[in-house]
Amino acid sequence: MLRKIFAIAALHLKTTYQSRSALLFGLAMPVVFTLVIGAAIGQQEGPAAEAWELFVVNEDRGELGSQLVQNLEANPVLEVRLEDAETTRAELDAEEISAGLFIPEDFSARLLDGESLSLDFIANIKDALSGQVVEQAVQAALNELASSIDIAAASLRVATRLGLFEPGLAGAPSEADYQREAIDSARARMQSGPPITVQAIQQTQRKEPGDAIPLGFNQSSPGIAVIFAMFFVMAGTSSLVVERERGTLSRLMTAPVSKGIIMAGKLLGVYISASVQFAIMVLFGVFALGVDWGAEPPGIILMILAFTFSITGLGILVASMVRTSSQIDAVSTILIMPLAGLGGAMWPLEIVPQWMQQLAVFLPSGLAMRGFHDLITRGLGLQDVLLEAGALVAFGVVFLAVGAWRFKYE
Amino acid sequence: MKVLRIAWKDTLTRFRDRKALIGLLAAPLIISALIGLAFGNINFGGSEPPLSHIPIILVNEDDGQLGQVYEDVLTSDALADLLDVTKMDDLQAARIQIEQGEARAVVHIPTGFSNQIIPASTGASVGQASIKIFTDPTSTVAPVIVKSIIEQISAGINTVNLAAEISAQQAMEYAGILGPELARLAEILPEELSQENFDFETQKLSLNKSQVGEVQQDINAFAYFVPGMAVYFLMFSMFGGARSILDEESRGTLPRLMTTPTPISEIILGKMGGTFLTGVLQFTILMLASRYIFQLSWGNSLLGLAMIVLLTVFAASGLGALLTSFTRNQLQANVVGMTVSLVFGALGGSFFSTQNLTGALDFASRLTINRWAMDGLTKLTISGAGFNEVLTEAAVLGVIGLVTYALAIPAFQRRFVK
Repeated sequence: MLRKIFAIAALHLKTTYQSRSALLFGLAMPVVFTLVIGAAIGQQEGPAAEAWELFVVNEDRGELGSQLVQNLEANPVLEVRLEDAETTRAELDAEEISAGLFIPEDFSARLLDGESLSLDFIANIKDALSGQVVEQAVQAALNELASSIDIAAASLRVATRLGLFEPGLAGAPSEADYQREAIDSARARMQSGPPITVQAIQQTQRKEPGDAIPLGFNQSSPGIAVIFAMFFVMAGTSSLVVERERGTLSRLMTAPVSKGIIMAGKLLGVYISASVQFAIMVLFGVFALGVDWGAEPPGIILMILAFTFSITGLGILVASMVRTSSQIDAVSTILIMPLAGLGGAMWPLEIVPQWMQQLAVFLPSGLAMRGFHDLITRGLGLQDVLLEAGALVAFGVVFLAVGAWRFKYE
Repeated sequence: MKVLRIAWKDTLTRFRDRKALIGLLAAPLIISALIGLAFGNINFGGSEPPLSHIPIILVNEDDGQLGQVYEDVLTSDALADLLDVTKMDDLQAARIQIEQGEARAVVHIPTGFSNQIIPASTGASVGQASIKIFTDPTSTVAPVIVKSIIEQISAGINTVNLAAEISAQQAMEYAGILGPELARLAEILPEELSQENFDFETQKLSLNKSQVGEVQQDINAFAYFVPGMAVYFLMFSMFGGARSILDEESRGTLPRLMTTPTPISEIILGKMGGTFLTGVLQFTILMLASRYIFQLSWGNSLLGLAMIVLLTVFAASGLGALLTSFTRNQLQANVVGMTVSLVFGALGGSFFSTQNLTGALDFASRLTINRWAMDGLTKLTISGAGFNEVLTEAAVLGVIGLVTYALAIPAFQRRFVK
């Protein structure tokens, strides 16, 4: 019996890939998609090492304005250029620069009086990313200065209560000098390293973990593979419907084998070709484009086999519910897109409502994403994804049973 | 006349097939609704973090007052919506919770943390210590938020502690002048450094932000994904429509049609006209439905919208015809159609925004119909552009349509007139 199943599977693969263009598409499709993924990941290596240009207009009549400029200059992310207001506004209007900061003439005076103030910061919307980086860097410099001022104010209060500024005390400094001195020592102290530092570390078993705060697309290569694998499998099972339409399926039925064996053989063919396509995506990604698929090949293989199995089951289930091949295209797309979205293949699940996050565990796509993330980003091993793989196989068995039972052969 | 009759007949057939209607109309609406649900609370233009109830674990091994400060702030009412904080004693066990997907971050305050920071005596220097945050590597937004909260708390503590150090040291420099008064330092310092004297609630120095360049309104998810899905499913039905020519070929109805005195070019044009009409109807119904179901505005320029929609359908049906004319049978046409619609969808912005694409990927994206259609549609709907501002997109789509049809029709003729 097994031999018959394999023979039919081989026949299916042979007829599918008989024409050169079908072979090309069957194999080229995964390569094209991987290229898209690879390019997307290549794009997103985060803000480049270069510095972002920031125009600063310093009209402050006191000293704090230039201290702020020094704080800004100390940040390697920024390339500070001092300009007058007119030039800066003209450059901004011409959309030549990404951001400009304006320090008003009463900056020092108001700050030393303990006032809160807000500086004009104009960013060019075209450079959304650099604008954000620059904004954060500027705010950090402002916070540092504000903190020095708070510290100096406290020191001044203490000295006042100790009576340092009582009239007639010989050799005592003026309040203004004392405050300035305090600001200077606070700034020096902070630049030599603040008391508490905060360190973010990725929780992963990988030997070479990435950045603690990874950027978008690094997350998405398994997601894109999962989406396209679903499309491959559905295209494969839809071939059953096409064969039924063209009458080749009923011709096969005249052979002296049972329906069950024909179905098993066909599905095995679909399963093999989908698994191969998934594997091509992974291998081409890893070796040609340097896409990160983790350090646990056995786990990845298990997840690929389990996931394509569950989707093959889903495919036959869908095939059993439709009459024509154009219907199966519509129905499979309407299934795949929500499965991809709800399973976390299109965007990180953390940004969706909680009920959606919980739902993901009950979807093949969600289980697959969980398994791939465990292996690739968390650096866990084969034994840690057995549960996900088992659940996928269980899904597959149920789908296959219902689908094969309901499928009409002619 | 015959062209029109064939076109009309095909359109009617298609809209009468209830299951095919799913693909034409229901799928894009359902998927848009789902995306809208997922991103419902997210304002694409805004800077507010879209997350709430981020599960984090606090492992506080410090028995001093500073560790308690972190604990108090993290569990305060102000952060109750943003964070769900669980306390644990065992750091290893807490980190495993991240691996199991139960927590997005573990904040670890080490033993003796307060003692390391707070100086042993008045006037001594403040020490140094470090807080570690273990983050979920599969998570992109939550770690950034948690880290910035911890940094904010730390900055406050740093300020107070450095204020103590500097106030004392500076006063001591004037010991000679102050004389015995200096002895009161130990009493005054804690009073002046009490929490009330520091206001961490308001930011002393902030930025008054404004932007130059094209004004971007707040984008809601629907305004982006409804056109995205509409264009994506349009490609599907346009390819399917072109493929129906092959269906008729294999069923034998096409050869039968060709025995009538209708030239093959008219049959093809009729079939493609039907596909075109189907596409226009599909898109129009989707626009009306999304307008009434999602209250989505399709912009102010009806003329611009009509132009972009008609030319998008024209280009997509033309590409469908061209691809179909070169494929051998329906099976192959199916695979090719699915591949092209997926690649075009991914590159052209139907699934992901193309805003951040640069270089080769941006170039590839500009080769797709989806990109030009999406650029035109989002200009009209999101930026409220007028007719004149989408002429480039319209022209590109028009050229794609003309070229693909010009290549497809002779190819079909060669194929069927043997």
